[in-house]
Amino acid sequence: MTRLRIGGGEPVELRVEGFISARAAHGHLFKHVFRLAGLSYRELQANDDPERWAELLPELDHDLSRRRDLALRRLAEAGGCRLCEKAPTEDVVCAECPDERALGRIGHLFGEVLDGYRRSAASAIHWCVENPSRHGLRLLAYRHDDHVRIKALDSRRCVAVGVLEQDGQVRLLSCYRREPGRTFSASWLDMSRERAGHRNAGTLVELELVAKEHRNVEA
Amino acid sequence: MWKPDDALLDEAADQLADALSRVQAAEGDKLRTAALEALEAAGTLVACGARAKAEELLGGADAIGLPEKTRRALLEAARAVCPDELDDAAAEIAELAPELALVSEADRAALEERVASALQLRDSIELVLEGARAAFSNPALPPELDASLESFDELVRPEVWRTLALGERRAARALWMAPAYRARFWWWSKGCDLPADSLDSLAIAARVLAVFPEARGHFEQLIDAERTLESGRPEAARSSALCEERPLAEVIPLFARIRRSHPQRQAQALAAATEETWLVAEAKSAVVTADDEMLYVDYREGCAPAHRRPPTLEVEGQPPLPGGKSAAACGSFEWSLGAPQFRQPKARLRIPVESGEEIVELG
Repeated sequence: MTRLRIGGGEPVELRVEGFISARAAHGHLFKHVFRLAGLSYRELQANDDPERWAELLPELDHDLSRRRDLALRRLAEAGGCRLCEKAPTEDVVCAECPDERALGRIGHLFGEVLDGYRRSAASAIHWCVENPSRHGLRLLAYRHDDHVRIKALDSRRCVAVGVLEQDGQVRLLSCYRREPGRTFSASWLDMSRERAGHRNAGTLVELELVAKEHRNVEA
Repeated sequence: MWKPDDALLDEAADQLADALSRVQAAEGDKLRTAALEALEAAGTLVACGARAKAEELLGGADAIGLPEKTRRALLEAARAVCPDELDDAAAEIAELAPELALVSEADRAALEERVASALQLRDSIELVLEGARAAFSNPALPPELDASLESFDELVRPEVWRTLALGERRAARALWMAPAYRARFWWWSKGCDLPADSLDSLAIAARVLAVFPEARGHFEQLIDAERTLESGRPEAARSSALCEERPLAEVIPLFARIRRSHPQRQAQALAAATEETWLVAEAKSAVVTADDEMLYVDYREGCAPAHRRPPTLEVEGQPPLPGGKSAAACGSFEWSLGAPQFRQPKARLRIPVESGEEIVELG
């Protein structure tokens, strides 16, 4: 169990329990993992997965076009998904999805990959707790729109972003991997700049580790 | 008062040292990656106001203390800094920014993340270039580089206002660096003090004008006042001074300084005219206050001279402007901030007292 103090408050258990909504989970899964949404012409032509998700999710095909075809076939089976017609250049189709039943069917059909995707995000957050820098936890927390946002970057270049509730629950907003050409240390410096900016802006939320669980972290 | 973040300075210095050591051992893509990281870390130090530290770690002037292979790698990396992905990032911002205002709050958060992530690519390039300028007195960057950056900037600049929804995140992306560097990172710094819900206020203003077209004149006055204040903000002036070498004193008219000295000026501007006044200066014999329209001198009790000669406002090259007697109170004098004297950056108030006069410098 990992316990934190958020902004000097009472210790709470840090729990990553999933995405903020099924729409957000699907939107990010199909954008980042299956590359079905929001691709540029260059990305389409390259047939390259810049995030290399097959390295982290063994159930994925390393060949991106096969991965995409399989996903589109499954979406067609589920019915009611506009990505089948619009992929891969349509962008916010998941965010606007009006069909709750289709969301449920797709959640079921892609359950295994979705679970792996969520685990990767959770793993990034826990890795940051367990591998502090000499200046403290690697988790960045800041106030935004009356909420506390949390951002984690692990050594596998996996970035998880979520809303951190006062009771320690994290609701994920996004999970993506930094480009392979950018090392962890460069990405970490970017986070450090952001942290320094929040500190100067007065929006940084201090996180203090109270107790750490002993777990096998994937990163 | 801004000060650099100690943790960030440490991280940047560590990364610079580490990346330089990797440059020496690496080849091919790894060499280029390490060189870019070194330059970005150096640029971070410079933007934090720690240029001397960056230059020291880079081996002094023209990186002369670094091995030849490292120097060459740094130069080559800087000259080829623009990745192909920059065009994609610009296109992504142009495509997603309009969506920020349309989607629900939960979905907007994810979009914000993508927009911010695309803008960070531009940050990295700007910092690499700053690092190259710290390392070499003349890095001789190729003209194609400017063209690539201009292409990004042209596509993104018209969309930046839409990113106001990022609110504090924009401010945080600008405030880690010293004020003098922020204007270069205009995609974050421009309007970064505006709240995240600013665009909602724009919609309300549009509704007011649709219902009351007569309010347009007042609205345009408010815009003019904001423009004047914006040009007089110290941070903007310092930033523009980097490019245009304009001294601060020349760009701030006195009336803008006086209006800005009200701590809640912005709230007042939005609420239109009120009778509230605020303190501008204090003298032994009088207090100087203002509201949005007027400057006032009010004698303290028992300090007004018997001859009742009015205080005067003086600016260089113009005749003294005597204060008008205020109808509101005896011993109170006033000037309209619309008078030409208030368009100068400085003025002097001569306040007659029984034993002579007291002088208050304004501006």
